[in-house]
Amino acid sequence: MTSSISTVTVTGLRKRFGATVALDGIDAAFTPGVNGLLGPNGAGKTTMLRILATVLPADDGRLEVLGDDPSTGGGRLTVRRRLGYLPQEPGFHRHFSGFEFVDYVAILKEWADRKPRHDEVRRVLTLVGLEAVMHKRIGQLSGGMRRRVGIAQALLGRPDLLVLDEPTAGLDPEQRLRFRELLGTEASGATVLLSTHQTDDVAALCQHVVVLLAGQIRFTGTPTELAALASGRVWLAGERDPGADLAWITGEGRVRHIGEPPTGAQLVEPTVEDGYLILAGRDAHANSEALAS
Amino acid sequence: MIVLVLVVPLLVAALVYGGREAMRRRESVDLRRLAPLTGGAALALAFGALTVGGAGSDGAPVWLFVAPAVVLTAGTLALARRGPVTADGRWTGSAAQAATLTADDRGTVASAAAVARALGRVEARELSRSPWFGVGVGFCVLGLALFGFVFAGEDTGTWDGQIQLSSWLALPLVGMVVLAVHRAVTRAARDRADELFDSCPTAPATRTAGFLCSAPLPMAILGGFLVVLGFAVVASGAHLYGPIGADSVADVAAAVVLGAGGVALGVALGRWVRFGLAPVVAVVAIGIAGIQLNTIGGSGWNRFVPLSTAPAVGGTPPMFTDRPVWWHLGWIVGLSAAVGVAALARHRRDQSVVIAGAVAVAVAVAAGIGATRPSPTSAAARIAAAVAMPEADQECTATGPVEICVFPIYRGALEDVTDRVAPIAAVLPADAGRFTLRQVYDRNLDELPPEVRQLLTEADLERPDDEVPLGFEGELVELAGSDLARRVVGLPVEPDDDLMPTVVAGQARGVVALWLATRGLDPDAAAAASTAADPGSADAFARGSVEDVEDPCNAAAVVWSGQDLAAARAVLALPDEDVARIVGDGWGRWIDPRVGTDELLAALGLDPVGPFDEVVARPGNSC
Repeated sequence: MTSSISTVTVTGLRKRFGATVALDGIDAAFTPGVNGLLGPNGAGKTTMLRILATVLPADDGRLEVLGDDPSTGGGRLTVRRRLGYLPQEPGFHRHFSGFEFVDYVAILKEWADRKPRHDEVRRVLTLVGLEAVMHKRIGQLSGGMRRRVGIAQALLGRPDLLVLDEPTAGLDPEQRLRFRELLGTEASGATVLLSTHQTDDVAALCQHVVVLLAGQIRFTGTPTELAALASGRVWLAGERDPGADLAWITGEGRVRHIGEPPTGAQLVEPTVEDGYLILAGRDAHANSEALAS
Repeated sequence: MIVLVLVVPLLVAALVYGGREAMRRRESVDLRRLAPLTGGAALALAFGALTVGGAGSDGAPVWLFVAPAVVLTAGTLALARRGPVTADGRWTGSAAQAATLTADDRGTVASAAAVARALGRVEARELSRSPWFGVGVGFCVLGLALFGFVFAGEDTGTWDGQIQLSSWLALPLVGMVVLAVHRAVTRAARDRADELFDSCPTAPATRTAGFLCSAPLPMAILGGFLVVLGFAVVASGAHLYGPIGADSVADVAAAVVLGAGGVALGVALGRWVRFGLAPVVAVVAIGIAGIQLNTIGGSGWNRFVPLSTAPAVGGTPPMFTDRPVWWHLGWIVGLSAAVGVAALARHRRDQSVVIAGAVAVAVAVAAGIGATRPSPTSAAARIAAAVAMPEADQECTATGPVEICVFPIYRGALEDVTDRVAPIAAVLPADAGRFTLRQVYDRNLDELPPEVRQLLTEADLERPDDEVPLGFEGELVELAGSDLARRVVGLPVEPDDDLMPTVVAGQARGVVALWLATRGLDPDAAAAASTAADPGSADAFARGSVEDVEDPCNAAAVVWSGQDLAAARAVLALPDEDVARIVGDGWGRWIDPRVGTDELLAALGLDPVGPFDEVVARPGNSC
């Protein structure tokens, strides 16, 4: 498989659920590598990923996924053949073993020959460290192990496009590190779209990040550029500053602030999370002003 | 024996299934997957215990069902014990390790048919683990135990007649398959796995085809069950005879195809109606429809019987019918295929599906028309000839003054009938005359196809006075002795047209008939044959009836009084030679209805039993 055409382009994408606007004219382009989607709950991340994973039709807009248009039957089929998808809440057949479940998905991914299919199933389960428990029923596995079963099925066949909706939810810190390592090797050359609430995952994994707020893209760029949005607006102090937009006590017992720093404040290097919070704060402020007016 | 029959197949299944899986996975056998199967079998056996217990356990001790049911229940509980949730183990697989693993080249993308077949294997595996399917298999095991062993020794009749039961025996498993498959088809929605599966390139219609491809499993189970049942029946000493012809093959094939029909119905319902009770409603509705089809027209000729999923059996003997068994098979095949295509049409309605649907419907319609067609002229003529002139195509043998004639497919029973009748014939005096026991059509003309009826008149049903109608299938041997005994003393073998019996309370000929009928029987059977079904009843009619008057299908030909039955048992206690001599010497007197029972007892040196109950005849019931 090649990554030369592993590009995803979204133009004017709209999606409504009744009166709720989930996506409001999204324009974005994703290149090979790991692309992170950040945003609060209800921002439209999952809706966007579901549309890109071809399981939800858009109301309006244009998509080009891996050079194909998934709104057509043929394009959708082509995309699905090159897609690995982990839904936000993947349903598992709990009486299946992990092996049986991934094997079932492998068949649905058109691996009909048993020998190569079973080899591939064993391979992806080994990748996520489940080789010792692959024949246990999923109902007996812990939440983190089930998440890894979900990740394993998404990796079947080394897909050109990986759509992962909150893949690290339920994973402990060590497992998150393993996941990052895995993505770095297994998805090299592929286009990876992942949504997460873990900004440190974005900082560690993503070459490109998109921040979605209220169905609209508020930022697109690199994690460094996102962090830079908070440059000069993050400071530490011994006491809480009432003028700050956000403030919390760090592990060292000092108070970290985001907002307009007072004169002489001890500015610190911003993180991706700081940049994201600056964006989210602006958005919340704009919304409250709009409501007030 | 029963325990072996019930438990051994399950253990074999466990070892074969678990062993193969273990070899494939190189791990220990996980027998827990068999819990639904053993649970289902336990449930079916518990049902069998209740049924057999309720039936009075005649010939089938309840413990034979309770013991394995308890064992299987205990096994199920042990197997189904939920293990602890596995602790979140470390993620030991590393990228470095991953680098050493490379998937084989999958080659070209598999075709939809290959994917459907692969899915079919998975769905067959899941079907085998379903508790509903387990209940169905349990019913098969129960059927095997009951009909293959417990009651098999009593079986006598033609293979043709027995094999006609195949569809009925298949129905419990088929019904459970509908439920199990519906659960399987709606599994993804229940588990919310639909979104993940929808993101895969396999089309929903191919997934539907995958479910349909699990049909070989219930078909194989049904085929195996019926074949094993056949061998078990033979091994248990059942006396079955006659050829196993092409019609029997069609009967078995139709039962096996019902397995596929059950899968198709379960898939179609799962695709169109996700409501959990839908398959239950469908199974009940089809059952009711089948009964309705079997009973259209009451007791008269009903050409719609072959359209039932389980056509009525035990009616008209085979030489008087033209069963369209191959058309019935075509009907079941067409119907199953049409339902399968309807399942596919939920997500795919292209030209090939439309054509497949049209072909399936055409097959079903054509077979339905064929199954309900008028009898061909040649078949009508053959049946009419068998009714009007049965002697033209029968095989006969003689024992003393009694000749026994049967249609060719019953020649296997000729020896049994002779053995049963010979002791009676041996004690008949010369002046009793000669009799012929002959298989004849002894039903109403309106139970024959109209094409046959128009070739016959009521006069064609009249038989010579010295002829005693011989039964068919199980009745052939069972009733031969009693019917002959009644006829030789001038009693009828059937109730009259109003189902009214002949009352012989206080008549010597009634006691003579009972004594004759018990010739050749062992003492217990002889005593049972001359004892009322309810001797303590306050009803004089019931005290004098050897048949169960509570039986909704009882239509007795002859009713005695309680005193006559007691007299008959007293006569049975006398030396046979003495009774034979006295009965033979005064034959003309003892068969005279005016001569009383006490006169016969006096001649035999026994005490009188009168006065006799005043038994008032009342009509019986006919099923």
